[in-house]
Amino acid sequence: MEEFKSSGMVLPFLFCDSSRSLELSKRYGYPTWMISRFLEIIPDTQKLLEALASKPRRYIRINTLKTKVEDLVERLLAIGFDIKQTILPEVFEITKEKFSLGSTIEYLLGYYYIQDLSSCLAVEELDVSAEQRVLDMACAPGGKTTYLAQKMDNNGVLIALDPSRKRIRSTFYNLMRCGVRNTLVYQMDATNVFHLGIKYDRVLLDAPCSCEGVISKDRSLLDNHYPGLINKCAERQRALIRAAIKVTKPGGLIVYSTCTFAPEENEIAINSILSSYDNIEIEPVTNGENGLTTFGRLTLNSSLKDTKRLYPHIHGTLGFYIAKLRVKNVSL
Amino acid sequence: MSLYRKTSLQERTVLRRAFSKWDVFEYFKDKLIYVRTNNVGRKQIFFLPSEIMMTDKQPLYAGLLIGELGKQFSPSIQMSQIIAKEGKNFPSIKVNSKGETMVVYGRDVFVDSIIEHNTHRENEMVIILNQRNEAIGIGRTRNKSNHIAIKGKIAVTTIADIGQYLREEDLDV
Repeated sequence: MEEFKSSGMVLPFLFCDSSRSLELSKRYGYPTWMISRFLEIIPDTQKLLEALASKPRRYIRINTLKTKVEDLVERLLAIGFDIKQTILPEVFEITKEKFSLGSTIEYLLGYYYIQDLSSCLAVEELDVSAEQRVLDMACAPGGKTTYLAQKMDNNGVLIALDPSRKRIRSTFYNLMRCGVRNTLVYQMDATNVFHLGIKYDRVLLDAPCSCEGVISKDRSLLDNHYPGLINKCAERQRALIRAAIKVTKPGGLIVYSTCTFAPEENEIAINSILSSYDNIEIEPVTNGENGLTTFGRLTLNSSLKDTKRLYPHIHGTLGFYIAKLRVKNVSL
Repeated sequence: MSLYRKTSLQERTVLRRAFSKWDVFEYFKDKLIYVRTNNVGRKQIFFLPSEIMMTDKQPLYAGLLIGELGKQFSPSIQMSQIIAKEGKNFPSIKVNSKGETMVVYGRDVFVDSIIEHNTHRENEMVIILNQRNEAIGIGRTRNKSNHIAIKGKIAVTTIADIGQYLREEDLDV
């Protein structure tokens, strides 16, 4: 294992190439450095690469702000879709798609949102309720925001942030389509969220990341992927987690998620937070493979096993990571 | 720069009249309504649940866009869905499945597609419902109701529909 340092920049952990990594790299068209890392951390790496080469499963989340689960299921079956229940009551896998999912009347009416199960699981873990103040730190295009509003039954206060006005426009469309009315959307870099002067009961930080877990959706991500990107993302993610902690009420909960496999953006990022803050503790996430507690020669906080990784070849979702951080009530 | 503010007395009067016309006066009686002037100077009306607070810093968007206010109130698609759900007696037409498809592509409504209507006025704003009584658009009657029997004629001009945002991704709101 090598940790590269050049001109003050710490690059991610890279591993020596092996005949196996060279073979898989050639067969699936990935850079060898990525495969070597995957072999180190991901069970059945070849099956993962097979899964990433095929079309990802499609899921919808039924918007109970506008319709009932049983009514929409009946309607979708009647117009020729085949659907399968998942572990979440309002999330279904589409096993046969007669028309484009994004062009049905039911979609336009806001009765469902096309959303991967992994994203829904992150929202589920946040355990929001109607009377809370909730923050979504990176809201565009609004999938998790609309689900949070649904979980809050359109009550309480949901603050949603995104730095891009263009992306906020698509968020706004989705909020309107889904009938969301408890949300205030700010065009803002989430590291400045404390400027709003609000403390939150719940914070969702679905952090911008290197997106290794969604390669099956967009193969071009591979062309723009390089070791330095992981480091760049990890630095930004740590700043965002610190900003989240700053605005969370004592006793409040933060759910941190990414759609990447890179430990630097997942367990290592959380590990550095656990080392810096004594009022933060990990709470167990329900679904997925245990988070890493070692990476190469690096040993991480043992509580990181309670964070979870979702893999396309094991869980049928996009690649995803979820950590749950409780801000402890500190008694003086 | 968007700016949210509470409604003025005059604006409230226009809104109350509109809510009565659309048979949702009772529904909106205790609701919090804000006005936002968008970057082209249009007054947009937003509905927020009463618990929500506004911070000192203005949001880009807050709540549900229910329409625009000029001399009169023009309901949004979201408002038409509230009307269809909460109202009982409001100007509407009901279209068949062919008409439904036309409307969500932004096309006007031909007489042949209309199954039911309760409007008898020319140039009146109506909610366009599908066969399940779901609001799929907002239109304006073109012909007098006695023309409604003439096949092949456009009876209602579609002015907003649920497919609009999808067709116009860069729609500035």
